[in-house]
Amino acid sequence: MKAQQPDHEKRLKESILAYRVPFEEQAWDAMDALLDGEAGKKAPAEPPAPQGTPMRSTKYRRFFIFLFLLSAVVVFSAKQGVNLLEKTKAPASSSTPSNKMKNGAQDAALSSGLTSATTADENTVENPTTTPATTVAERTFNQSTTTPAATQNGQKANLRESSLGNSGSTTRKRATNPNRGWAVGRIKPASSANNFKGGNTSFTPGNIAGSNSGLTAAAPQNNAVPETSTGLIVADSMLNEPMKSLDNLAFLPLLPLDSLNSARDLPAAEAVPVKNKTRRNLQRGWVLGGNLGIVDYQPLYFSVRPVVGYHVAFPMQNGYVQTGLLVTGAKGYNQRANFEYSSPGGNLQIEVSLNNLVFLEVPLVYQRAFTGDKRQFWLAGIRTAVVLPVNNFVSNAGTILPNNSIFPNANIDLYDGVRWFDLGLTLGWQWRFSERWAIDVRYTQGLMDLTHDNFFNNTETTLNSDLQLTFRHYVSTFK
Amino acid sequence: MNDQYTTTSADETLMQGCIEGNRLAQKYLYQRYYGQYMVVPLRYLNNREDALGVLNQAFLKIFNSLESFKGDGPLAAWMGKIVLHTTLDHVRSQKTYRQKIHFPTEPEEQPIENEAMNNLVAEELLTLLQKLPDTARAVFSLYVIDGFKHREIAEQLGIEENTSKWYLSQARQLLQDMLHQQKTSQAL
Repeated sequence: MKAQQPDHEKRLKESILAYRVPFEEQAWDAMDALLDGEAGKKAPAEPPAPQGTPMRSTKYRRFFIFLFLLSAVVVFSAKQGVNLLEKTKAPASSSTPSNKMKNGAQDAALSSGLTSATTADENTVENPTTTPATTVAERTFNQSTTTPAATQNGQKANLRESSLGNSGSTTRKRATNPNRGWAVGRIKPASSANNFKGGNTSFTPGNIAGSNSGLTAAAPQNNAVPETSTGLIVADSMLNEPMKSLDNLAFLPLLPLDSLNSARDLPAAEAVPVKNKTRRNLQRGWVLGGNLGIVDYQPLYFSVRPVVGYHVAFPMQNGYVQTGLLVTGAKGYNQRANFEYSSPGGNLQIEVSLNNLVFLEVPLVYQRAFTGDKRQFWLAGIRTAVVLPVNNFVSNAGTILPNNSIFPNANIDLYDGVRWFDLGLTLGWQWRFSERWAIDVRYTQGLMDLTHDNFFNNTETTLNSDLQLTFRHYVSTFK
Repeated sequence: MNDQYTTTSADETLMQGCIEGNRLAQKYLYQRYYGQYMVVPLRYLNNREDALGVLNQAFLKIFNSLESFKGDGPLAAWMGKIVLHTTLDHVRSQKTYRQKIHFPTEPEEQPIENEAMNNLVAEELLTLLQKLPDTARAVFSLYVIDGFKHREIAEQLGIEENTSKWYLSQARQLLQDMLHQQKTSQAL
């Protein structure tokens, strides 16, 4: 029987039970939102008075639903990324200087009655005798090849460094040559025949339109500046500058590249220093997924926890070495420890239990492709982990003893009974299903007993063994 | 449609509306019992937002399972049980480490004997309760206000019976101290 309740407590009970919290509209707003969310899910009716924590199976189901949704989102976004890449590649290729030149030439020919002779991989104005007309071309030209061409034709060098104050269409190309710099020029072929080679040529309709009609233009289709070229890049320049004369048109290379010390020699809008390509020899990115930890073998009990982190991979012969930093945890170890304290007010026995552990993991695995497309890898290695001291103090300060005195201090650090370092063997599989995304499944067998038997009343081995399913996003990949 | 539900509609009418998923009926039922049941999570949790979250979860369960209510007893009592159990579920889920304290001797019943308590209104008493440590507050509320026995409290909270007794003792002692402090500060 329950002891008769003292008067004061009775009054306290009556007072609190009679108390009504004033209704707040915001409370209903929150409830309304909750009901809206629930309406979308169409949750089945629950038992009238649910008790206890959710069933494990429900937890797992939620976890797997979460993983499924996450994988769907990742695959979808990766696919979208690929599609976008493909979509953007097509227009990008059509807007490369060479294509632009070609288009420009064709447009020019159409608009001004030019006969456009487009020859792939050739940069020669065909049949000089039949093309005596003026050709205004803006082109990428090679110092070594254009100079003789111009000289051969005995044409007067009439090229100058462009002032290029114009806005409007500008054709640029980033040179891949290690010699950095930009040169901009205008080619004004003389009325005589032109026979020039090398480089890309673009035709500016505006310029052509301003010139004589009946021009014949050769629009080359070179795709890029050759690697060995000195990398002169010519931009569209002369739109705003009317041609004073179509006579004496010739071209010569502009200033030697070396004389262009920096981009400041040219207007900022035109000059873009070319960077050398650097080889990237690591790939890195984020990791997100789930960790199915085995916290007990008899009976088998799993813990489900998220795992987040950052990973880095370095190339190695025939494969990669992958490492990273991940945070995850395990729940349900249920290790108990008993303590007994003596004090003048009486003996105090305390039982504490340890359920959760948080790990900071550093895996080191070798991964090697086993498919021809190098998209699937097996991986093997070790995993080191540190047990993080999270919420590890149990304080019994303030516990009241039988004589109503307060127990002085009985703080227990649960991590006194936990090994802080863990080591495991890892085996897994990774599928790089897009350039930026991969799915990774790995099992790690813990090798070290994490709990000290003399601290916890348990001689069983506590291992940090788990199956991790993660998605890996690559912020940067190998070049 | 919605006209049949008013703030004065009978519980049964609102209940029927809730089963049909009528939002207005749900609102009126919620509004009617909010004041009465909000006190329950407030007694067990020291944070008003958490308390509201728990209450709303409880109401969600109520709305979802109203169909299964057979009318054996009053609706209010059935709802009260759901609110209490949802609150206790929340209390249990918040504990990272379970702690059991065994004392070799039975603690004596040391009820609160303080006249100051009579002068406090319910809101102030709730505030005092919220200042107690989590488990002590839960045991005190379960024992003193909800009328559970130590054995039942031990089952509910996953602790031992003796542990429950000592938490009750601790809660009483701390409340006594707080009341004493309050009295002293008022006298000053």
